[in-house]
Amino acid sequence: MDNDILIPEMGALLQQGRDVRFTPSGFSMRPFIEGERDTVVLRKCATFRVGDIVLAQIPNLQSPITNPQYVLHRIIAINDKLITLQGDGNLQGTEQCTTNDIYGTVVQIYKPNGQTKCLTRGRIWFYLKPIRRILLKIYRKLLKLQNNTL
Amino acid sequence: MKIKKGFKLRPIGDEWMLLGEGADQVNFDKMITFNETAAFLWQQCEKHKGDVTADMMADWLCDEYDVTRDIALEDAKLIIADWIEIGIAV
Repeated sequence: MDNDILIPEMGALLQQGRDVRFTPSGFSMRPFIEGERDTVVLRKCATFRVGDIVLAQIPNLQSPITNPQYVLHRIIAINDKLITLQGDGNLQGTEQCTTNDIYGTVVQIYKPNGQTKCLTRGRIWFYLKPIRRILLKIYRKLLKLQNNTL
Repeated sequence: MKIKKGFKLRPIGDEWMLLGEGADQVNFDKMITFNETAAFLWQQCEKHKGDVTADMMADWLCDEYDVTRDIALEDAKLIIADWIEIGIAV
């Protein structure tokens, strides 16, 4: 089903104080979240901190008429109400939104075997940014090896 | 057949979705899309609460839709098999 329908529905449930579990897609949160494999639990939190992974609606500033973009990315900067996000697996490119555009914060990450992943704030990863490209390449190789042996 | 607990039918967009729901968590991973008829039958099962047979389902279908008893019974049997197979009923 379309994200434009599903995500606002999730947002409504989060607003009611329910946790929402789902499987994100895409690879922009590698190596912390593997899209279409790991599942995450979101919760509506009143406050945000740098390092939180959040589901947000990114307003399309070029064309407000077209559908907004939804991302599950990490907060890398907070400037009053303005939030800057970046995917852990992205080398460049950030998104900006306000606190009102955030649906929920990731409070749990599950691997396919049901075990939980350690929810880090990504601080070390942030400082490793200059060599992220190399680390992501190694991660992809390891993932490929792991998939081949399965 | 008996529908399992822990699921809730929700209208989302133009469709019906069966979502896994606990006391404080809604699971979009266990999301199953239902058509209008399946949603109607699920709601009837929820109201009924106890065991449901294909015959009972066929009655509900005949009361609600313009359908012959034979076709309704066949559809009911298929849907029961389907629900058991995907793990939302026993």
